[in-house]
Amino acid sequence: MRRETIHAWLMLLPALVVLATFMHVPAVETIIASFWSTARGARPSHFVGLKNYERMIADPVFWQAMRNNLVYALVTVPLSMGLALVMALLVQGRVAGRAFLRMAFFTPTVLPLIAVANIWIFFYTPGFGLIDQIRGLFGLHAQNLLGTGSTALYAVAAVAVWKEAGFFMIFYLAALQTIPPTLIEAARLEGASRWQIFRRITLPMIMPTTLFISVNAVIDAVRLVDHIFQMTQGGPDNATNILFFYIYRVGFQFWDTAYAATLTVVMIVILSLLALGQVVLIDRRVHYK
Amino acid sequence: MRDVARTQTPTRTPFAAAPGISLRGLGKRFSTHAAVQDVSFEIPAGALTVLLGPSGCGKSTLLRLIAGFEAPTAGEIVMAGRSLGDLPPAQRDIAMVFQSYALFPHLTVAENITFGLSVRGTAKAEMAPRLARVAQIMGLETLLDRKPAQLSGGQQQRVALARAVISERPVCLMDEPLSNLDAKLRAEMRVEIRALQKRLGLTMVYVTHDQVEAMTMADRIVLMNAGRVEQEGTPQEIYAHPASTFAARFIGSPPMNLIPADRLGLPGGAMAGLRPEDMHFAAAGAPARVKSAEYLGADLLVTLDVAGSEAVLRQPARAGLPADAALYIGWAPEALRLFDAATGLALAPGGGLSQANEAQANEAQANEAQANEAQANEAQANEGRA
Repeated sequence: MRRETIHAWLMLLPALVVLATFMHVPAVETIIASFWSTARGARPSHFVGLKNYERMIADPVFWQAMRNNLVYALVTVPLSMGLALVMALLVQGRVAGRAFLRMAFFTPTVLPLIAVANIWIFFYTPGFGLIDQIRGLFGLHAQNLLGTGSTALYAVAAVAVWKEAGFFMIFYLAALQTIPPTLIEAARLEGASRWQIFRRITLPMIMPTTLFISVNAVIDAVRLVDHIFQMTQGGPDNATNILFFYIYRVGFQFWDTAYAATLTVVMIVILSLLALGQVVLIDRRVHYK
Repeated sequence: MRDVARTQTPTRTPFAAAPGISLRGLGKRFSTHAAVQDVSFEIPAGALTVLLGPSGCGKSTLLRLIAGFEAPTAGEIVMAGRSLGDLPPAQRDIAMVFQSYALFPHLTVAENITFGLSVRGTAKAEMAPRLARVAQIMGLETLLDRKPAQLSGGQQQRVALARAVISERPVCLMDEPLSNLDAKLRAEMRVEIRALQKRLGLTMVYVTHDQVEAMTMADRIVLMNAGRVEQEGTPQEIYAHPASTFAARFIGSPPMNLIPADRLGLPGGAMAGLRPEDMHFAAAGAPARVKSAEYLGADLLVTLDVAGSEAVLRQPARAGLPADAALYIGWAPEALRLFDAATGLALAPGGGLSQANEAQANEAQANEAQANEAQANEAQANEGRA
């Protein structure tokens, strides 16, 4: 082997060891585990083939979690990204109290999601929570948003949007700052309206950032479940049970690790396909410098 | 395609009515300093006016005021007989080429050029022939589908020009358009831009800090310093009659030599200005010593010590250096310029004020000037313009 090749491998080694230990080996083990049964007391684990997958397809809670997750993603991804862009545009230009606004928008990101969940529990508390107090001013009756099956999922989605938008705003803000002001001036001189400048200059130029954020937002829509533990425990009647939360329950509350592994494989496949799809689909329309 | 373009647009004479621009008492204060102060001059219609000055002299701010990107804090800009006031840039009927070119990196060359037409809602049927015609003028026909990043600096410059030309706006502002190009390309583009400006009859305002660009391209030069107009005139006027020591040192390469007059054996108190090519070695005159010589091929630049002041003499290289290190220099008397040692303003040969300088002098002496003196100045001014 040539010296440089050896050097290259030596350089890669630390990262490789860490990644292999904590990601690649467990991932492969998870896939293997999904084809075996869960060990129970006297009965050791044995090979069951696709049985876990058959069980999953027949599991109504799995399908509900998938549906919930889809709704959760469809609400949180576009809303948090849209809000992030609006906030970034707002605090990008010369606006009074810009530093304060930026900080205010970013604060939710700094807080742990568990803390955020506690704040929102106070907002949502029926009768004397912030939301019901405001509703009370308009003479509206108290409501249990978290305890009602039809609203609970949206209530927890709102928390995720509130938490995420400020984080994504930072990326949009950074992207907006890289657009040379002379481009905007040149467009203004040509008679482009503010909307035309936004749609034809700003938006295309921040597309790489949009792609990056969208991949992250989709992953977070699957991954961010901390507040569900705190706020609803997946209830009422599985209304806020999303895939990752369900995996945790199956794996660490019911201790059915084989089935949890099966669900994990499905989740990872879905996430990989989504990320791949996003990159392939959007990448074609993204201009990189 | 080109023929079609020509036959479809013969009735258009887009640049026929290029207006002039007058700046009247224009000022721009930023919170900490004044970038432009009390600037008044005329930008003649259909001519190329160069705003020249060192960096930070306010020339770019002045251009941005004309473009409407900044609002003046004093004075007004009048174009085609109407004050521009706070009219937005798009409605001023001006095109602009930016120093960075400001090309949209995600759009093709064709989309970049037609961006303005497209946002103003020009019909596709009209856009295509105009694009073809401009692309042909600028030699961009084969590059229309490329992105700016795939072009060389010179090609990007052409696209930026094409974007200004296709708008068919009669006034074109240029902010140091050649500063990002290498020396050879810069020389070519100078000629090209000047030819384009003449061919289309554009009123062009061209900002640069490069006096060679100013001298070679300008119909008129407005020399700026510290936010004020130092001198304005044709390149010949400014070169031959610099209004101040600043103008004398800024224009010309190497610049005009400034030597205390008494060291040349002239009456003291003033500063004597001599262009390097106006000095020659002589058998008698002011004593000088050769310090070094720079060979330029055709010319020889000789650095001299004239009674303690440094001066540069330019002579044909084939004349060679004199054998003696200590010698004398002479000059053509009509080439000698005198400047006030304290204010740096030019003095006329008789000791009064030179013609090119009356504006500054009026300003400087406005407070003390008596009515009859003002009249005299005015007469002188008229003479100067004639």
